[in-house]
Formats: sequence, structure tokens, C-alpha cells
Amino acid sequence: MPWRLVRFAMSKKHPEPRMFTQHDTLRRSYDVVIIGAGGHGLASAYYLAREHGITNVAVLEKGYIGGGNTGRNTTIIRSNYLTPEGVQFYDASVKLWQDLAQDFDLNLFYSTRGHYTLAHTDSAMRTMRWRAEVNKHYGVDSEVVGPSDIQHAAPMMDLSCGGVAPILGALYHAPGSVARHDAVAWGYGRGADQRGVEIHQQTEVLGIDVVGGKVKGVKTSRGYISTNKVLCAVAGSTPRMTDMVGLRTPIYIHPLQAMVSEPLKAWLDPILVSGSLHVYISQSARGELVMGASLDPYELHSTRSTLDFVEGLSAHMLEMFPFLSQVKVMRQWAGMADMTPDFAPVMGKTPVEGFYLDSGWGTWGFKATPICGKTMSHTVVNDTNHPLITGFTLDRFRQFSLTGEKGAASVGH
Amino acid sequence: MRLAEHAGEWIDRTKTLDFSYEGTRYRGFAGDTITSALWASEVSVLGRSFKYHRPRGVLSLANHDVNVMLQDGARINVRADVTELIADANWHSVNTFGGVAGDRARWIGKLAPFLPVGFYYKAFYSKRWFPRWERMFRNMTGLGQVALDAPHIRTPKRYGFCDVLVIGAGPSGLSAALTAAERGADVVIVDENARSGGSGTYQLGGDNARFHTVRALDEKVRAHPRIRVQTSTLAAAYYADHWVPLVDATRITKMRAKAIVVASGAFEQPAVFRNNDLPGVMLASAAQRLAYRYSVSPGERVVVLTANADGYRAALDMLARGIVVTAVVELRASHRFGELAHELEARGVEVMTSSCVVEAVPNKAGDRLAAVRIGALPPVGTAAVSTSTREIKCDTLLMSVGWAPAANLLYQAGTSMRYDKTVEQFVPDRLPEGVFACGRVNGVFSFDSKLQDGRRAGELAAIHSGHAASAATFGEYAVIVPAEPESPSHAWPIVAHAAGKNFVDFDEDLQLKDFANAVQEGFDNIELLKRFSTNGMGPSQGKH
Amino acid sequence: MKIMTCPVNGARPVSEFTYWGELSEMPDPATATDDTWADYVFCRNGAAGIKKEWWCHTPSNTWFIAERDTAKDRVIRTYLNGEEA
Repeated sequence: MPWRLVRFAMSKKHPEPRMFTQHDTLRRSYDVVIIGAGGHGLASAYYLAREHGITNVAVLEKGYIGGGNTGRNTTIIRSNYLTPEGVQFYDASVKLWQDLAQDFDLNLFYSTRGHYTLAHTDSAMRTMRWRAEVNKHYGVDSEVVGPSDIQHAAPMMDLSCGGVAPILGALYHAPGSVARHDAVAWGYGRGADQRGVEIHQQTEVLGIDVVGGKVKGVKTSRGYISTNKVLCAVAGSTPRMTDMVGLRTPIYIHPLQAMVSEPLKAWLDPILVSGSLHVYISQSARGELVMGASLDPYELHSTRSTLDFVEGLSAHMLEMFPFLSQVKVMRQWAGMADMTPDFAPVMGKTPVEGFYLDSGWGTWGFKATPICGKTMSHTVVNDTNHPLITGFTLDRFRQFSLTGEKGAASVGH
Repeated sequence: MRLAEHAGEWIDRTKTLDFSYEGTRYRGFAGDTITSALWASEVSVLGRSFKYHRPRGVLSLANHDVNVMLQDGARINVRADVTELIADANWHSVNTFGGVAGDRARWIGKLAPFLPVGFYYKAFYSKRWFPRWERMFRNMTGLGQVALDAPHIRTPKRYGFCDVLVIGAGPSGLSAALTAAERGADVVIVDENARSGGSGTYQLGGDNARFHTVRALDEKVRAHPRIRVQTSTLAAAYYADHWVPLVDATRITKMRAKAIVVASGAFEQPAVFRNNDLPGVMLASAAQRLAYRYSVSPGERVVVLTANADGYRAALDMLARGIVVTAVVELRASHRFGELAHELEARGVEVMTSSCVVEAVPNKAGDRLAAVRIGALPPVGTAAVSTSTREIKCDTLLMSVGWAPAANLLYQAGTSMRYDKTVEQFVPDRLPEGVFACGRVNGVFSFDSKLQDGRRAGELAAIHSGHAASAATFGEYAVIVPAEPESPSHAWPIVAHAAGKNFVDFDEDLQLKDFANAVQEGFDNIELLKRFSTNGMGPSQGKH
Repeated sequence: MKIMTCPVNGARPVSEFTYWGELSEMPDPATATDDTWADYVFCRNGAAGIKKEWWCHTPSNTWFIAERDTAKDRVIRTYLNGEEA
């Protein structure tokens, strides 16, 4: 029973304290400076404080908490990836997700719905089988299912997709879930704040001081901070930060759009993804259909929306669910996706000593929020890449040793 | 109740249409919307609110709220305020448990103390019970029910091209269109309403001169060979390079314009006071639309709550249509339109200044306004003193306390706005190339000024699209439109009350204290406040 | 639809085009070091700015260069390779 709510009914004044302390001054130095108060940055701060006892930390945020991609994604959490590195990494994340609301004492609406990656071609089926095998090998619950299983989970779906692209089967991933994205940032933020981390919003990083190949400090819009450790977790703004330390990366920025319908009574339980149609859909606890498609086709540092996006996505949705034609699109938006050539992130140490990068999250970053925080905090404290992220170093490109996740991340190939 | 015929009414009294709502048959006229037909039939409760399932009636009558959201089979989440009658349709209000009248979920209102802002974050996350709680939430949220056998309706699309696209066919939009066309531009003017004329067809102040001026302007626009007029057409969004999808009942036209004039007007704002969501409490412009477009009486005994000249004009419009107005409650101590107040007093309407509505009082059944409690306007931030109030019996309260610009297309185009204290609203500061604004969205409210502002914008749009006929005449429109004599919007038309139920967001059932509490919890940035409280995230989002 | 101007066919909707990334100078594969070659293959000038990019008007197979502001989504000019002046 939600006994906690009784407290609200009983008290004359609203009995809740601030989740995020307002800090009027920025100290002259911190042990660690984290750039970006999104899910990843705040998760890193949280684990730094909780697991490593490092609390002399400032998280600097140009705008407001969770205002970047953390507040713009379509909230899908899964671990059905393609490579051994990817599967183990995302699986560790899912395990953290499952206890996160308890850790935070905050409802994240973490809802395990089951996730179907639909295959419309033989080659897609081959990829699904490959993923299922790699997943099973690492103890992740995924299997290939046929059309009758899919129809059973989504009885209202047209498996022939309007006759255009009949579904042959799917990769079914039982642990696939959705969650309330903003609440994850608030939960990590509050948890870090309670343990002494300082979150400074409306504070922009203007420059990073590197002397003799080592980080010395950070220039901000509210003053200079001396520090030897900077963790950069700014997603779409990554190239601007890496330029500040003179680092070359393969990261390129394209907009990723999304949209929601107006709220409807619950009718769709599972999460459905189609690589061939380049679309995906789930229904939130509020009843809105949350839908997305592939990346915008050209570089742009903007969160603007397009008509082609909403048109194309709606058309494909109607192929799968022809009865939706009178449902209205309520809102569309975009985030800036920091893409990489192999659709795997760029994490860990860099050639600049004391500069740690958490980036290259493209269209696959929200699900990794907890494991990112865990591994990056470990990396920053020990100045050594956490074992789970050794496949994601910046260095891998120089070595031509890519971690190829294009078959399992994103829907636009 | 249906009023006497009005020259500009949108209904055709020779054609009746029968339909049913919540199982009861009703009759309306061709041209009625579902809401106007129901209101004419004395139906006050037209829906139940999202969270507390409180009875709701007409608020904006303009699709700026979803108090009246209906469903008939595959016709899902229909905005009854702006949807014309469909013969033999069988409507029900969405999201009720057992119908509008006997909605079993109305007891949730009694649980309100247990449901503070963001309450669902503070509990319900036990691993064991979450699936059960989630089923409950999914049951309670969501509006219409998807009909799994609804037909796949394919909407045809076509492309359109023009020199100047004018969005909004009110006084300033019509002026802009005519000026641009006279300059040689090929003009398309659209309006989401069934007919053009905008506020010029219902914000009359009981004065037919204004009505005839707009009608004459409208006729000139329709007669012009270079102007295409499309009503019942929504300019759905602004996309890059002046690409605007125009949505009408049958198709989408993807319009490419060389220049765009946004003359979309303003959204009227509700006053915030206890029980401001009772059926019978509505925006003044809603009452004017009811009275002039559909010849429907908003109610039998009207009181007007105002803080601008529009409110006095609305009172005069009610009197002109034969509706009893007993009082005007003016928030301000003084203002510039004394002659309007005098005219009302001469006709037996009591005018009170520095006063506010402390509380709207329901009838015994709790489903219609029965009286308003008036008191002195308290200083900002303090609650109203409910002991020294005066009760005035009425079944209808018109709220006319201010406006917010309908600037969505301007935002989407990348306009930066600035707050103008003289009109207490945001106005365009830096417009993108080829985008122009006029009328109330531009902070221009006086009638003659709107016409002038429209001419200015139309002129500039024509020049931008390549029709700079002669520099000499341009000088005529380089004159700056005169400043407003006073602000049409009150800075803080909000009255706190210990017992709450003073609503700010009607879609999401958010009361005044929800905002204070959210800010107290650290959500003190407007974006964080929105995401935590869900303010402005309901189905009428973007229309406030 | 965003407009892109093909130097040969004029203003067309952007869906008729393929974006092929920023122009970059290819090092001599015979003499470049592995690091130089890896940088050329993978690394980008990722930050926003005015960039010269390869675009192809797919229906006519016209390859050209667009100078574009990648922050403001503004195409400054387009021209065939070699005809920059």
C-alpha cells in the first residue's frame, strides 16, 4: 500500500524537501568535475559518491537537469545486442535497472513489457538468430520466435504490414522494458546530491585547461575550477568539448526525432521494433504511443522537427496497425545523437590525462545509463578502464578494431 | 437555450440534425458544433476531468482545452467544441467509468489530499506490487479507447505554392492578405474555423459597426483574384523553408510559401480561483462565440470577471443578445475604458473594482455554477480572505483577464520573443527571414491597430516574396502601429485559497498549490516544472 | 521539406539528395602512417560550423559541394566540384 502518501494528507505544509540543492557559489576546486547533468553524468556522480566515497564532485550543466537526450529518448531498455562486449555491458545495465527504483526511493515506472525486434527478410532472421545465440551464451534471455508467437503478443497487429513487408519472425527479448526517462535523471541527481555532490545548473563550460597533456582546470561561465579529473558526458555536444582538449574523435552529430500520440486507453503491451520499416513503438503508462524511426540523414546540431519524419513514421505505423488512422499525433521533438562508425559508444580514458570521455551514445544511450555511471566512476577513480568498457575505447579506431553493433543498435541502416 | 437570429450566425435553422450523447437524443442545426448543440439543449456537464473526474463544461469553445472530448466508435478523441454535428452519431465522453453522469471515478476527488503533485513518483514502486499498480495507472490514464476494427483511412495529399501564406483570417490576417495581393502577390489565407473573420465576428462590444467592417473586409478578400481563402483549414506546423502542412477535412496540402504572415491571434487565459472549473464558468470569448456564431445563450444570469476592455465588451455583447448580466467584477482599481463601464452601469449592471472572485459556488448537485463569492483582490501571494465576501447568484461566469499569443508557428520557425510589460505578454523580438507577425500574436489588440498591423505585415511579406511594386507607397506602412492604451492582460489574475481546487491546467487537473509544491521540491526551472507536474503536457498542449 | 539547390537541376526537396559527409583531403595511402590513415578513415570535424560537404542529387546523379551551416540548417551555396568561384 502506498502508505507514504498518507503523510501528505496528514501534513499542513507540503512535507517534501528540495531534490537538488541550489548552490550559489562554485568552489575553486573539486576532485572531479563532470560536464553534463544528464542521466550519464548524474549516474557517474552517484556511483562516485556511493561506491567510491568521492563526494568532492561538481556536475556542471549548461541548461537544466536532464534537458539533453535523457529527456528526449523513447525510453527503451534492453540488452539484446550483437557483440560479446555489447551484450555483457547492456546486461549489466539491465541488472542495475531492476533495482534502481528501490535504490532511489523513487518510482521510475520501470515496466518490463517484452521486446520484439521484427524480421521481415531472411537476412534479418539470420541476424536475429545470431543475436539470440550471443545473448544466450552470456545468459541473456532472448530467443527467435515465429509469427504465431508475435500475433499472440500483439493480436491487433497486421503481420503482413499492409502486404508490403510480411513479418517472418522476431527476436523476442523478455527483459525488454520502458521507464520514465526524466525520473532517472532526478533519481540519480537526488541520490548524488544527498551524498554531497554539487549539481550546478545554468553553468556553461567555456574551456578546459590542458597543460603538458594533463587536465588542470575548467573555465566556466561562473568562474574557474581547478581539477585534475574531468568526465565529459554531454552526448550531442561532445565534439565541442573534445575540441577544447584538442582530441580527434569519429563522433558525428545527426538529429534523432521522436513523437507521441495523444493518450489512449491501454491496448499495446509489448515493445515492437522493425528494422526493415525503420520504426518502433511502445505505449507509456500515460497511454501515449511513443514512436521513433531512423536517424536524420545529414549532420545538424539542432533539435528541430520535420514533416517527412512524422509522415513516414505514421505511414509505417499504419501498415502495422491500420486502425490507428484517426488517432492524433500530439507532439514531436528531437535530440542530437552523437553517432560513431560502429554504433558502439566511446568510453573511458583518452590520450589527455585526466580527461575521461563518456560519449558516442548515438541512439542507444538511455538503456546504458546505470552501467555507464558504474563503469565511468570506476574508470575515473582508478584511472583505468573498467573491464566492461575495454571494447569501447577511443583507441579502437586507431587500431581498426571496431565493435560492430550496427546490427543491433538503431533502426536506420 | 437558442437565441434570436443574428445576421452573422453560422447555423442554418432550416436544417436539423439528430444525434445522441451519453445515450440521450438531441437535435441541433447544421453549422452547430457538438458542444454548441448540447449547450443549446441545456446540457451543462459535457465531460469529466482527467485526474479528479470533476464535471466539466464549456471553457474555450475553441479547441484550446479538452473538457469536451468525445468518442463514437472509430471517431476517437473528437474535440466537440470545434467538430460539426454528424447525423445519427452516438457520442460518449472519454475516460469515464460508467458514463458522465454517474462516473464512479469521481470519488478520486476525495482522495486529493493523498495525491500531491508527482504523487506517483513517491510510491507504487515495490517490485512485487508495481505490475498491479501499473495496471491500475494504465486503466485510469488514457482518454479514448482505440477501436481495433477502425478502418484505415488514407488521407490524400497534394502540394501547394504561393507567394504569401497568411495564417489566420481575423481582422489583421484579412488586412495582411488584401495588402499583399494588392501589391501583386499570390496569396493563400487559411483559418482553422469554419468561417473567416476571427474575433471580428464575435468580439463586438454590442456594436455592429465592427462586425460590418470585418465583413466588408472579408468580402473584398474573397473577391480578390489573387487570394485563395481556405477555412476549416489548420496550419498544422512550420517546417524549414516555409513548408506548412494545411490540414482540412479531406486532405493535407503541403504548402510552400515565399513569405509567411502569422496572424493567429491569442489564447484567452482563465482566471485562477477556487472551483474555476465548474460548468458555467467559461472564457468570455467562449460566451461570445456561443452567442454570435451559434445563437446559443451561455446561461440565464451572467457575471463577468474582467481585467481588460474585452470583458466590458463581452458584457455588452451578452446584453445585445438579450442575456441578463448582473455584475462586472473588475480586478483593477482603475482603467482607461471608463465609457464602457458607464454604459453598463446605465443598463443596470453593477461594476465593482479592485475585486475578484474568491470562489465559484456550485449548485446542490455540484454540476453547475450557482453563485460567485466576490471579495477584495488580495495582494499577490496571499490567499483570499473568505470571511468578507459577498455572494452573487449566477449560473454563468465569464472570465476576461488576459491573453497569451498563439505563437507556436513563430516558435517553430525560430523566432526569439521578448516579454513586453506594456501588454503583459511575449511578443516577437527577432523574426526569421520571410516570417512576419501581426495582430494579437504581435501584441496588437486595439481594433484599428490590428488592421494597420495587418497591412504592415502584408506589405513586408509581399516585398519579401518579390513584389516591391513602388518604394513610394511603402512609406505608408512604415509607420509604427500605436502602442496599446493599456495592457489587455492582467499580470496575476490568480487568487489563492486554502481549500484549493483553483485550476491552472484544466487538461491535467493541476491546481495552484501543485506549482508551489513542485518548486519547493526543486523543480524551479520552467522545463523541470513542466516535466515534473505535467503542466502543459495534456492533449491541448501548445494552446495556452 | 528542406530545400537543397542542385547546381544543375535547381531547388529540390532534400529527400532527392544523399548526404555524403564533409570534404576531407585524402592522404597518400602509399606514404601515410597507420595513424594518419586511421584518422582519415574514422575521425571527423564533429563540432557545428560552416562546412563544405559532398551531396548527390540522386535522380540525376549530380555530385556537388554544398557549403552549409550545420548549426542553423542554412545552405549558403552549392556548386559543382571545381567550380567554386
